[in-house]
Amino acid sequence: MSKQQKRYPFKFLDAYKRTDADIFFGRDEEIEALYQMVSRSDMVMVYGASGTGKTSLIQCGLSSRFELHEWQAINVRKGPDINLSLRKALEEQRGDTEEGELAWLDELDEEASNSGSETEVQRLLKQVYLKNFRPVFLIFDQFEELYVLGGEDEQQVFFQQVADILQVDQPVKLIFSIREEYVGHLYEFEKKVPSLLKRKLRVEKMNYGKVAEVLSRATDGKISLINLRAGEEDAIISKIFETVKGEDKGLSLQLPYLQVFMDKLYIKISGDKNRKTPIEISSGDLEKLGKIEDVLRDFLDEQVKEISEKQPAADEEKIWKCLSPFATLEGTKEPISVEQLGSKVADVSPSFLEEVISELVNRRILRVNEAEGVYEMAHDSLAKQVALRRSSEDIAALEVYRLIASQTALVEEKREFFTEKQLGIIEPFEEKLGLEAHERDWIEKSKLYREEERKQAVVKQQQELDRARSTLRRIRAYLALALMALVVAGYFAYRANQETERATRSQERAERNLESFYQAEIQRLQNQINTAERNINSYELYGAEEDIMFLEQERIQGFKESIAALQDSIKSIRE
Amino acid sequence: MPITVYVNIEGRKSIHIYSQPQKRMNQPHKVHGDQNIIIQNVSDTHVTVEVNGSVQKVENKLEEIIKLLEGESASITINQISYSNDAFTDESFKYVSGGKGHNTVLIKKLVEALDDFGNASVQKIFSRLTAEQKHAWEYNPRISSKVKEKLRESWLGGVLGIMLGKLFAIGSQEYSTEKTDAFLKHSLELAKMTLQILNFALISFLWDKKKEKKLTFNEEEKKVVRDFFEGFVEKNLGEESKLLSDVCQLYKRHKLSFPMEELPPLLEKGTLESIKQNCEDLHVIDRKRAEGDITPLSCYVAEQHLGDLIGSLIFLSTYEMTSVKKVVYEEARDTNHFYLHFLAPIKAASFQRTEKTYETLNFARETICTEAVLMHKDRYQQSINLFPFLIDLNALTFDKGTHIGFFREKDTDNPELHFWFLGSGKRDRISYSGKLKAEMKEEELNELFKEEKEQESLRKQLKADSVYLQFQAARRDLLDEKDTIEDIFSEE
Repeated sequence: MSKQQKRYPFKFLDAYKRTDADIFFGRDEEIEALYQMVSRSDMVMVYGASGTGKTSLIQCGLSSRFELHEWQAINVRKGPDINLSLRKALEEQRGDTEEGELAWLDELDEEASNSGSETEVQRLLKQVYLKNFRPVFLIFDQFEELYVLGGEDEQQVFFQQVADILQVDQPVKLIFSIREEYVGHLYEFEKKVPSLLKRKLRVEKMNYGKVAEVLSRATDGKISLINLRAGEEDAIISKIFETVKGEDKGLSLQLPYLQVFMDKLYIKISGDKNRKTPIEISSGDLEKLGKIEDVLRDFLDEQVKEISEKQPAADEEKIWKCLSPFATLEGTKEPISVEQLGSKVADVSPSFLEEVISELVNRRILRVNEAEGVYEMAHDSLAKQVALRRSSEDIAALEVYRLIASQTALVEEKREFFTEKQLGIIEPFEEKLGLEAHERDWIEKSKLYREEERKQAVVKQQQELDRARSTLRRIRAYLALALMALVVAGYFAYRANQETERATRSQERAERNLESFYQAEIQRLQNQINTAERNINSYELYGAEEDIMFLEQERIQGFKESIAALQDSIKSIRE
Repeated sequence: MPITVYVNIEGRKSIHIYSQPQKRMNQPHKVHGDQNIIIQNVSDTHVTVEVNGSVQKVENKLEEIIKLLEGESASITINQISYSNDAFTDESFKYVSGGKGHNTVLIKKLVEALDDFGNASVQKIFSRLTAEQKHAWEYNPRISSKVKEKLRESWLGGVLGIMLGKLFAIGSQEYSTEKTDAFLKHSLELAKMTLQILNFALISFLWDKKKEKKLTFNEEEKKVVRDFFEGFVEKNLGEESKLLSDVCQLYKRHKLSFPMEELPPLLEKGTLESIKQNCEDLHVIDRKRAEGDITPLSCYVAEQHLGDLIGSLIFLSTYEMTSVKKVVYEEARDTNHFYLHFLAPIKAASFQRTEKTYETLNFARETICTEAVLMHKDRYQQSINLFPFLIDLNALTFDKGTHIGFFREKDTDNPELHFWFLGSGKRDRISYSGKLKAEMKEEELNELFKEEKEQESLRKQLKADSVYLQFQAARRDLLDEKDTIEDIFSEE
């Protein structure tokens, strides 16, 4: 291979692409595993920590396993709404269509189909496939953004879109790439698409063995502009690994750190920012670099310092403030437009912003997403460094902003107005947050709503007071009436009581009379018994006939029974 | 897509044409010479040419371009490949210069064949096209993409269509030497697949007939069969064509009915001869391809021959293919029994799909062979079983969808068969482990499963073994010979 064909083998913070297959090393096993999964499934989930090289694995490793006619990659990144991004990406791939008088060609399929009409995305996918008959690979990179930046409605619509895509008759495959800490968020998605996680590949960080492979192959003098001094290869690789790892106790390292370090080393040795000069790295070169605590932090510090030196109006603090909106609270990338940035960074002129952005892009810290018209950090690992530099006030402001954004992400019908307490929290930050029109609008509406709510509460209180007073008046009237009724009732009660007493006395008298009558009757019957007993004694003495004596005894028995009955009556009267 | 073609006459002797992407249309690259002729745009009817700064519009015809050479003999260089003037017809010139896309020749031939054959979906499209639209419809992307879709679904329910789809995909790429190579490679592969399916059907049917009728083959006939089973090198297109011809002769000599009723009339018409010629011509291109001696003009020629070859076997568009995934027996006490046939139609639509359920289920009184790949018309029960020459690997591994492999050759050193897989376009081998033996008793099988902890894995291995054993059984039955390698394993 000629000298001209040698390449600079590192990509800094850019992902490796299909055309970089000749300098993409250390991932052979993962590439084969992913290829097998993709070949045997319609959908694959690739997950791993930030900086493990998921994007490169797909865009370079996997894509280079397919021939050109077998691979039509459509990369979908979440913009304001992932569903719009998907549709836009498909429309771009399809290109312009001439409907007109040949529209009936599509209707032929609908006539033949039993499965009902197709959705917009299904129709677009079919058109994309029929344009060139290459199998479509929908690649959803940094899928965690749907959870970090997306709303619930957006998510639900997307899950349904994916379920629909899986039903098309054209060869379509879906590949999702997500940071592993967000895998748990996929629960709702998996409920809608049960096979979501059936085929998944975890991309591990690179251990020493893999890093050594990458470095030794990337510094092969036959293909690379970088060469390791003969005889020192192992020592150099080991030193690079230890330096990049820094104070991290782990046995692996993140690729962005390695990439940034190698770039820094190359520039230091070659002084060629065009990266076209061949160099040889020796152990001594590494010694000269000195101790590096954190490769990315040092890199960012250096870059910010250099920009501030170039820009007289800019101190470092201002540049950090410009960088801050590009990182989420969690330290992931947040794509934003220049206009959004302008509204989020106070006291900075538009020309200053443009110059800083231009510098950051030139230094490959920011990159442009032309499709969405936004800028974003070159890598999550840089975003993390930016997040780590924030003050507690900045963090509070971002938390407040998240509160606003989460509410305004919902469709208006489903939103709730901010509470009084929330508005109280928002107020001190409102001017500093650089809110968008719809966000400000919702805060204003919330304030009006709460104001109206307060007014209504006062009116309601007054009404309640009036109602209470009215009620009190009624109660008093009722009480007066009740008092009168009580008096009348008391009179009648007294009268009734008198009558009752009289009746009771009459009853008692009657009872007493009745008892006296019963007693007298008992006495009379007892006398009758006595008489009869005497008669029996006489009959026994004078020898009367037994029949007569029996009759007397019968009478005595009858009297006794009558006496017993009378005594029972007396008893019941007394009770 | 209109493209920009840059033409330069160097010393008034030749024309250089470079295809460039549309976006560079406004930045023509001028090449130094006595005259600069720059073709700014090429449409189906006209070419816009800039000659020394003066823009002209000439008819898009070879003769018009050659007139620019003012009668001097010239070669034409397109994409840095020189062609002799007389190598071109007007049509092939347009094809090579980019005025016509790849596949236009092929799809036109196939659609005409389907139309003549009475294919309903193609006729439905053409019955609604206006006369103007029918003229040069193959250049109208809207119509041609719909037609391509229909072509992809035709021929064996789409089995050949899957390869056609790959050709369409390659054809849509921008010019490169890799594109030319890939296009030819896949054209030849498609031709081979087509002949192989016919040969598999004929050999498979012959196996059944040989046992049924107790036929005896002479040495010449045995050689034909032996060449099929013992070809340790993959057959080229010419050999596949010869095999087709020889096996058909064998059928005729033994007065056997053909597995496909459409074949005898074709034999009478001499179609096999034209197929043979097409195959020979394609084989020449293949040989040149191996030597790196190919140009886009080779693609044009390949499309002609491939179109003629597949077009002559148009009856295959009435056949479908189905993979039998499994058969389940059901008979509850005191009820009639049923067999449940789990089937996977092999279609372009279901190609490499695993999520959408294409598989069907059929209750039947009769059973059916498992691991079968069936070629049939309306009813799969009346079919030709192409197993073990055509296999569905996914049926053997209990996976969803289909993964179709074509037998290509038998390994010389090991008991394994080499298959070419339609999905990946790559070869893979099916190895015989020796665990499954011919006519194993149920006790032996049960013993085997008792010893094995990974029963699923063992079942897959036994399925793979059955591919090899069935292949050997067919060979043994057709040649009345012992299968030495299988015998060695059986003895172990």
